[in-house]
Amino acid sequence: MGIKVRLVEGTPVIVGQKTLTPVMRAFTWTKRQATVRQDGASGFGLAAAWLQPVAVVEETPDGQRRIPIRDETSRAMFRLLAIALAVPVLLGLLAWLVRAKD
Amino acid sequence: MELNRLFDTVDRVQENATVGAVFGPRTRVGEKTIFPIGRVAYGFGLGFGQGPAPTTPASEATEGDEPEVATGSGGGGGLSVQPLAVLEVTAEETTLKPIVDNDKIVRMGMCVGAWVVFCLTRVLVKIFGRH
Repeated sequence: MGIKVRLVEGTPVIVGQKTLTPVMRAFTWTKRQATVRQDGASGFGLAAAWLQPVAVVEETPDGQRRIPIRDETSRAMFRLLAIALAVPVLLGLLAWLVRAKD
Repeated sequence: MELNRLFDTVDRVQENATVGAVFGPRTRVGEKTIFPIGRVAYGFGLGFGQGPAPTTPASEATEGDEPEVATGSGGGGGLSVQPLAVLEVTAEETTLKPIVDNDKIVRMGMCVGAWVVFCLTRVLVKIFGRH
């Protein structure tokens, strides 16, 4: 029961002279409860999992390389969110400066 | 027992959280080998109950009658799969091509744009408006 976070390496895949090993991070959560009485029983179970690919490790005769996997959509959304948070602060500062000057 | 089966199903979540869920099977396209990569999230809930079923009224029950047992169970779940990138492997190079959801970004951009215009309008009113 509880949250578990694991970094999992998958089975390497060979493509030509390259060996590719996928790596992912797994967040899993489970909760279960049971009640046993004289005349019956009841119980419930909850489970959730979030599987996020992290990187692919590429091994070639020339060496090893780690290719990180990024969620470009989320990164763009976070940049827009940062703009949305920064703009009112900056505009408020500008308004304050203008009125202070007056 | 039903409860044991229910708990086994819940415990299997961690066993099923394997790399194969996020890194798809390879596909060969000409000289390239392609692996789809995505993010997976899923969850579910199960419930079970068992108790006596009072189907026979006490006045009609005879000695030796065994009480009937009633059971009920239910469950629900959800799954989300989001493609993140495609890994292209050739003899010369290995490249990761991200998959970008432009619709989502444009929608968010429009909301942020509206928010910026709103903030700008408020500031202009504060600066040039009546004191």
